[in-house]
Amino acid sequence: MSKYIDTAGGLTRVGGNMALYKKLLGKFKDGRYCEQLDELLKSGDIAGATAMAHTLKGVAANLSLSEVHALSLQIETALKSGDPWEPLLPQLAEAANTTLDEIDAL
Amino acid sequence: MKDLVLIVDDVDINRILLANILEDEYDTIEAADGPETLDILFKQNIRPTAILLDIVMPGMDGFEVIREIKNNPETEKIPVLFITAAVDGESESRGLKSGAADYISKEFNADVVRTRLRNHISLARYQNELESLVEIKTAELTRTYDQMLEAFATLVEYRSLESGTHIKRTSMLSELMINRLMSDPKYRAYMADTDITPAKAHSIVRATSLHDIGKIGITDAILLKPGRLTEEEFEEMKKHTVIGGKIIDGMLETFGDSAGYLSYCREIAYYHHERWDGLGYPTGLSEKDIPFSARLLSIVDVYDALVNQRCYKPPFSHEEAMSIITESRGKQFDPVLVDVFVETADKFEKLEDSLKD
Repeated sequence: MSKYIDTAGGLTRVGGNMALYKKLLGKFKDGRYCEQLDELLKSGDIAGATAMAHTLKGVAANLSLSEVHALSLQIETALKSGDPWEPLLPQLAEAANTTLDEIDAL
Repeated sequence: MKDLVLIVDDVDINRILLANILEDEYDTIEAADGPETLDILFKQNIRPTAILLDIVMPGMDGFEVIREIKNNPETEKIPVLFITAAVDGESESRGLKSGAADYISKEFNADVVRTRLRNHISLARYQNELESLVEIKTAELTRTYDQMLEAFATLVEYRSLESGTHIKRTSMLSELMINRLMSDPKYRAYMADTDITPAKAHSIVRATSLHDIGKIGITDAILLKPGRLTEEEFEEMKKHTVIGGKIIDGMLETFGDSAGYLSYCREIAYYHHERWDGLGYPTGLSEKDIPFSARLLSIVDVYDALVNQRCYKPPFSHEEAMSIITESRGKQFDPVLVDVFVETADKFEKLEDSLKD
């Protein structure tokens, strides 16, 4: 099992319907959620980034995108508590890229 | 037909997931934000059986949406389940306090969502059924109560033979006067002073029907005597007020006054022969010490007795009766109520004509 996509977990939420799961993953890719979060953070829009981290966290949870979910949770928490979030950016980029690659490979 | 569930989430992936989980059991409809939700509920007047609601949404958040839903009597009973990625205890507690039936975190288990939704729908349905059952039973009870009162009132009518429709007329005349009192702004202060709400007014009107119930305790020789009563006979006749009051005291002891008008029945029976100037019976109370209900009934009771035939007198004309009552303004009768009576009098005449003995 990939540490980026928990396919088995994700499938339970679509009643084992792989076609639907793939379709939703495609929507996730097209929605550019990770990229949007990255852009908002770099532009210094903290409020927008907090909201986007929250959205990403929810979507990633629903699709069982484990790494992206964990990182978006860390980033949201850091943004809300005022802790440094910058060190998390490279990790987010790495997780996002690998996840998207794995989506394409499914 | 399947129940309809409204899914509110700003992210389409989440909506599709939920719709897919629910599709075997429910029809679903989706909204992407607060305004769209309110449009579905209040513009299109669609009434879902339950609502799954995201909390964090751009613009209007889930807390604002649920406030609108719970503040509207049309939608307040629809169970709302928050489904959200906000997993902190604070928003969970805020969510539940805002009237949400449940709070489900994202990364949910499909079966848990289905089961909780099913539970809340049947709970809401059970509650609605109970409420309408209580409504039906209460209406039945009120009807039974009314019938009982009417039966009592009819007993008096048959016994005294004075008037088949006297009770009906006095209660209708009382209602006319009360409606006038409640609707004309110039009587607002008077009504506030007497503390009569529309609900109480309604009870008073119904309570007037038992005003002469004490007459069942008066001997036929007096009750049915043609011509004037002697002084002793009149003293006997006066007792119908106290007897009536005691009969209703007994009912109050046995039944209590949950319906809220036996107390009015009692005060009307007891005090409807008191006079504003304190010269009435049985207690000689005066002015506002006499209960409002009894002051009111005393006027229509006298009017109705005047314009109809009694075993001891011929009927008076409406005009004669009017002048007798207005002459008694501030003496026998509450002056304000005489004013109301005068303003309502033309309706009295019509009603009397349509309900002659």
